[in-house]
Amino acid sequence: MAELLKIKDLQVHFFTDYGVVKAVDGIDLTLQEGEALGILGESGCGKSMTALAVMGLVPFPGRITGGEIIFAGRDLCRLTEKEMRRIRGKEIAMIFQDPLTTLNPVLKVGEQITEAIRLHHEEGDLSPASGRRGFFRFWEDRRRREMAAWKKAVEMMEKVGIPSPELRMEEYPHQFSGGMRQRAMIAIALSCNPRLLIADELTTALDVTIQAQILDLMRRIKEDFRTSILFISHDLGAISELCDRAAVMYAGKIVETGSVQEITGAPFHPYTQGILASIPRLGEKEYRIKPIPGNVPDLGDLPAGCSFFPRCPYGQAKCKTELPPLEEAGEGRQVRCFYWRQIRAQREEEGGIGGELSFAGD
Amino acid sequence: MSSPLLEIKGLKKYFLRQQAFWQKWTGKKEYIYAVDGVSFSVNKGETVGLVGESGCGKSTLGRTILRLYEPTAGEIYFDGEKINDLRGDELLQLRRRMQIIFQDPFASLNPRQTVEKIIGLPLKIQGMKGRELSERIDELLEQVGLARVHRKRFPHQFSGGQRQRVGIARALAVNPSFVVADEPVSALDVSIQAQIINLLQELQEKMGLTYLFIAHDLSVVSYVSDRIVVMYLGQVMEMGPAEEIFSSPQHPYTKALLSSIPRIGKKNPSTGRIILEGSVPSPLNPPAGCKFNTRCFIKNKPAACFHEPPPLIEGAPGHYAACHLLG
Ligand SMILES: Nc1ncnc2c1ncn2[C@@H]1O[C@H](COP(=O)(O)OP(=O)(O)OP(=O)(O)O)[C@@H](O)[C@H]1O
Ligand SMILES: Nc1ncnc2c1ncn2[C@@H]1O[C@H](COP(=O)(O)OP(=O)(O)OP(=O)(O)O)[C@@H](O)[C@H]1O
Ligand code: SF4
Ligand SMILES: [Mg+2]
Ligand SMILES: [Mg+2]
Repeated sequence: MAELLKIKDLQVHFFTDYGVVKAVDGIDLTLQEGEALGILGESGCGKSMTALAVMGLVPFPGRITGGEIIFAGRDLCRLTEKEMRRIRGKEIAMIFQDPLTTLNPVLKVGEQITEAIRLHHEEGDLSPASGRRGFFRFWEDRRRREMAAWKKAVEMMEKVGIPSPELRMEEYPHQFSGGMRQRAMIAIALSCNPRLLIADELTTALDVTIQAQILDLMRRIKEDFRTSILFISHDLGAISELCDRAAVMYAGKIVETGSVQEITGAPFHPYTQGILASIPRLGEKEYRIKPIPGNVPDLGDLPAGCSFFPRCPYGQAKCKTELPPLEEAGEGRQVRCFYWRQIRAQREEEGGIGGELSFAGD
Repeated sequence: MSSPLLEIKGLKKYFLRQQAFWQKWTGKKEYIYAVDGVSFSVNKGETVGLVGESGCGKSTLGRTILRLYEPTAGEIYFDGEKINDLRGDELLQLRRRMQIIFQDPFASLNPRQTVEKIIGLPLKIQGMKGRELSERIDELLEQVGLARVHRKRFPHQFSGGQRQRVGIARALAVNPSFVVADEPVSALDVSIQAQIINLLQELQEKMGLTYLFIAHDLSVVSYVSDRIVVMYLGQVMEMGPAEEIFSSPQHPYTKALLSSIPRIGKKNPSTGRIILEGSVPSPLNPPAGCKFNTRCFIKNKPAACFHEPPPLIEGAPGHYAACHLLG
């Protein structure tokens, strides 16, 4: 597998009246071709800003202040806005957390999908020129292109599982249910046949039954289109179902990466462990959840050492003053904690390593 | 077996749909059947979980029980007394025994009031003042894990979890015995969610509270509840002891709901999973017969599913389900 996306030491800072907010503070990530990578983290930890940085859409007063985003061999941070626009249109598509930024409430869903298709395809590849000469040729070609785009839109809607697509094309976003709206957004994102699909909290607002439908759809997209997926979510369940690997973020930094099995079965970082211990296990009434004490730190005023120190059960004096580096902890596995070896040893003693722990009523 | 603290019988709440002016002319009225004949009871000291998809009427049911909405039909008994028709002073007395905690702690707290004012208001209405009031506020803050220093702060100066603590303190101020917790942790991050769940359970033990716990997250509901009520389109599909609902669900809807939950660390989730098609029909004109019939995955359903509402049948002691296949 080839590397499609590599983020190196990415920094996104917001320059506000009350100081600098380090929304993304040194992120390293790699995404292989055809892989689904989950980014897990609590509200405000910088997940969306990481994604927006890849899209080149960090909002004011934020700015990418350092690092590289290598996509298919090119550093996106160095591209001009015009070059970036081409990448956004054709190679990377994003489904935004806020559906209103994607769907226009006053346009029919069909028009929006057709528009996306027309934008992202060269004039020629939707329908070949008519070959007709003379005065009407211009209109003739245009009509054919429109018809072709419309047909492709119907096809897309069918692919993402919107029933009776021809009728649904004529409806407005507010006439769609939450799950249908999500499907329409997926259709728009897929219309340019991207190599990378970024989905920001795609299933968060949905009911479980609809979430299951959408996750199923995403799984099929991953398999059928071989699209690489960056799946941002605060729901470990959704990530562990769809993704191959996961990266756990805390306060603007990656604290642990690994395969989904490693992250959910044998986490090394105290924060990842804390998250797992906080989730009730379905049907295991005797299991008592253990919350992480305290609150997420303010990104405008981060502690000097490890950002997790104030809430960490393993923290030592060193953690308070020194920032732990993101260390290699196995193949494709990284941990940002001074004491991960000790934590691993302790887990091995308890016999918890190797995915033996079962969660959520397996 | 303890006695029921709350009992509802055939409770209904219909909303009149907002009408355009020409509809008013023609006199045609449309109703949203938000809660459509729900009966169950909640025992003293127990937690009953209420689950179901968005729009199935969970919040409406909770609010109707608290008399925040006028019931359209049915009876509500609280501590053996019928409370449907309580008015004025009696209603005020009732309100001190039944309270609600809301999902969105930000929207439910007045942004221009300090925490002290917010928590103090229900106490003042009950006639408390001066030292007594001040001491009670301190006591409440301590109970929910906040400190005296937080008294003078405004809601926006708190994190989501802390705001929910304020919401809980406000609900507990009047020493209620019954609390409707309407998605109290849904808006919170997992690590904070766990703190609030534990807090609610501690308070229940300490103060002998009875909860109606509304949530759409089934693992949270299974964790906190003794019994569970599964709703769909304003009606109860299944109810019974929490363990049984999860270990041997009877109703197809419950089965689908449980099977939809993303499992952490489960490898091949798509095999053996029931994925329901489509979404919940509009409560404006729900399907006839079994309300679940448009999404039910059972093949070769009996004809009764389409024209006769299935009754709730007690298949095992205390475990009810409404499905024609279980008749
Ligand atoms: N305009 C802004 N000014 C200052 N800080 C900002 C601004 N926009 C975002 N931030 C900060 O950037 C941080 C990261 O935001 P981001 O949207 O990436 O979080 P997230 O992980 O996506 O959270 P959520 O799960 O809530 O979507 C937040 O802590 C936020 O406070
Ligand atoms: N005040 C109201 N006026 C009119 N219709 C209402 C009102 N409150 C709720 N409804 C409608 O009644 C139905 C049930 O709503 P309710 O809020 O009780 O659902 P819910 O189960 O709590 O959903 P959620 O999980 O989204 O909170 C919905 O269709 C809703 O649109
Ligand atoms: S570095 Fe220290 S404070 Fe940070 S997670 Fe590891 S032990 Fe805890
Ligand atoms: Mg976000
Ligand atoms: Mg509700």
